[in-house]
Amino acid sequence: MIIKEQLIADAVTKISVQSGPEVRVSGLRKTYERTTGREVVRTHALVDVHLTIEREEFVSVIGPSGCGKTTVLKVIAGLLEPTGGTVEVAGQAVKGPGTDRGVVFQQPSLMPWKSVRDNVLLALEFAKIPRAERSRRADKYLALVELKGFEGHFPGELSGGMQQRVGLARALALEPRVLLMDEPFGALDAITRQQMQIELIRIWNQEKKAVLFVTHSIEEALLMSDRIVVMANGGVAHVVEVPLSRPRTSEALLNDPVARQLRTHLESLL
Amino acid sequence: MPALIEREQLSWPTVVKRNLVNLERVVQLVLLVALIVTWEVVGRNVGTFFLAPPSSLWSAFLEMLSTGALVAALLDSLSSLLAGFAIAAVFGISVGFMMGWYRPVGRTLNPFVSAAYVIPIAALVPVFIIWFGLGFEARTITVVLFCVFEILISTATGVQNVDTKLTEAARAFGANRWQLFTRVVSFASMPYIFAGLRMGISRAVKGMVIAELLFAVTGLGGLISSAANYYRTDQVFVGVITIALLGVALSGLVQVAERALLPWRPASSS
Ligand SMILES: Nc1ncnc2c1ncn2[C@@H]1O[C@H](COP(=O)(O)OP(=O)(O)O)[C@@H](O)[C@H]1O
Ligand SMILES: [Mg+2]
Repeated sequence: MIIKEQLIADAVTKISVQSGPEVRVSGLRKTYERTTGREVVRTHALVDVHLTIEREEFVSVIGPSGCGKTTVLKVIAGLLEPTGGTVEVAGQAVKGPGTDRGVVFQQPSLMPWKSVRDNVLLALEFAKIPRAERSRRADKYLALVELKGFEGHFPGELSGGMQQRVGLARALALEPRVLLMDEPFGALDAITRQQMQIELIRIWNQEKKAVLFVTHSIEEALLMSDRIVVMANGGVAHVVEVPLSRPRTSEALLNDPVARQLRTHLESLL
Repeated sequence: MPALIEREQLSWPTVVKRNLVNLERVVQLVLLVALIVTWEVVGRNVGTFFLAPPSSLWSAFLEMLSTGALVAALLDSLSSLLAGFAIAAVFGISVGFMMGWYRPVGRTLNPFVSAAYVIPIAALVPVFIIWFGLGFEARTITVVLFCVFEILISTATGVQNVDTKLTEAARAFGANRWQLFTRVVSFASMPYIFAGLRMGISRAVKGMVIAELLFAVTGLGGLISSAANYYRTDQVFVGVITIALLGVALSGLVQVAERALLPWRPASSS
């Protein structure tokens, strides 16, 4: 009963706050061009990409290397100018980077001369967050990613997993509508990777946001997402719903018949 | 997460011991002693006139110290050396930043820098004497020209080689071009700038001595050439050794400054 009421209440707020999706990508095209001497080389990285992410939805993008996953993410982040098509976040056309989107890169990309806390503060300064607010948020989100006690450390003194937590805290501290993550655990060892997946789900449960999560692991996509977008050759090839109940664990997914079917299906698509 | 993070204040004797007593220092000392012994043996055999042995240098050193000639020459040299190096550092770093940051400026000025870099500056010293006389200015300008290009080229290279991951992260959080330059690029290029300063300071010492030898009246170079005129090889060597020690001390100072200003560069693990 209580759960049902909660669901209705959620649905009502959803409708009242906003009707459209959190992210809408339509007809996106991106061509990289390079000239050497007389020769012009054009790489059509994205041909015609359509994609939506609903509020509080966790969407994974999966596909072979070079199919355009990073390019899509960077265009949504406002770091790359598209050749054609549009990106809207909460109904607003994206013109460049903005604080409504928090990006976590594959490499931690932290400033090596700044301590953990100062890295978060610097990002917030770039985002034009008022000074007093910056330090409150840095403390809050470093605690959320369980880095309390490491605020004064330099990135070079942290493990890869811990550096990636700083990257996550930095993106969360923007308090963005959308979290854009480009293979954030791709460079981590299997054990750390699993820990980080659990962490991310815990944080996502706490701070429900729309998430675009690029990965090349079917397991990871099944564990984390509501929907899986399968990309191939610069376009969206398939969109697969993941009707698995949460919380999920990798062990449970191994035995779950639906999960096994999904995995086989995804494998056939890739 | 590590099991435990310990902080410990080292006592000064420990710090001194760690930095001064290690294998590198021992080998350095052995090499130095071997050099001095060889020199002594050869010097005694060929005679003081051809090669003053180290044992005879001590009395020459005391004599030059007591007349005040050595200290006066050293201070004289240092004044134009430090002034020239400071001017070269300010000019080289600023122009290097400009050439690295504004690519068109870099491409435009590049041939001029390459040309100026290969000009034999020593050959121009007589011209400087004609223009500026035998004073401080001509020597300082020689020093500047000797070291400015190392600093300039290193700085420009450093700016151009800043990790795009870092600038991209900064942009994603909303950094504008000015912030990108002042908060990211200027720090990220520090290691290159210091490499330029380290090469530059050695070249500055060389430039100073060459100018003084050609002037033949001032500084350590002047001291050496007048000692040579009187066939005082012992005094020549005292002058030469002073210059070598000056070079070691100054580049050591640059390295100390580098370590103090770039504390994030991982030192060593035990
Ligand atoms: N800066 C660039 N210049 C030229 N081609 C690029 C550039 N970045 C990516 N590409 C090309 O675009 C395609 C898609 O790249 P990317 O989005 O990085 O793929 P993914 O992240 O799925 O591995 C690839 O074929 C890649 O070679
Ligand atoms: Mg990629």
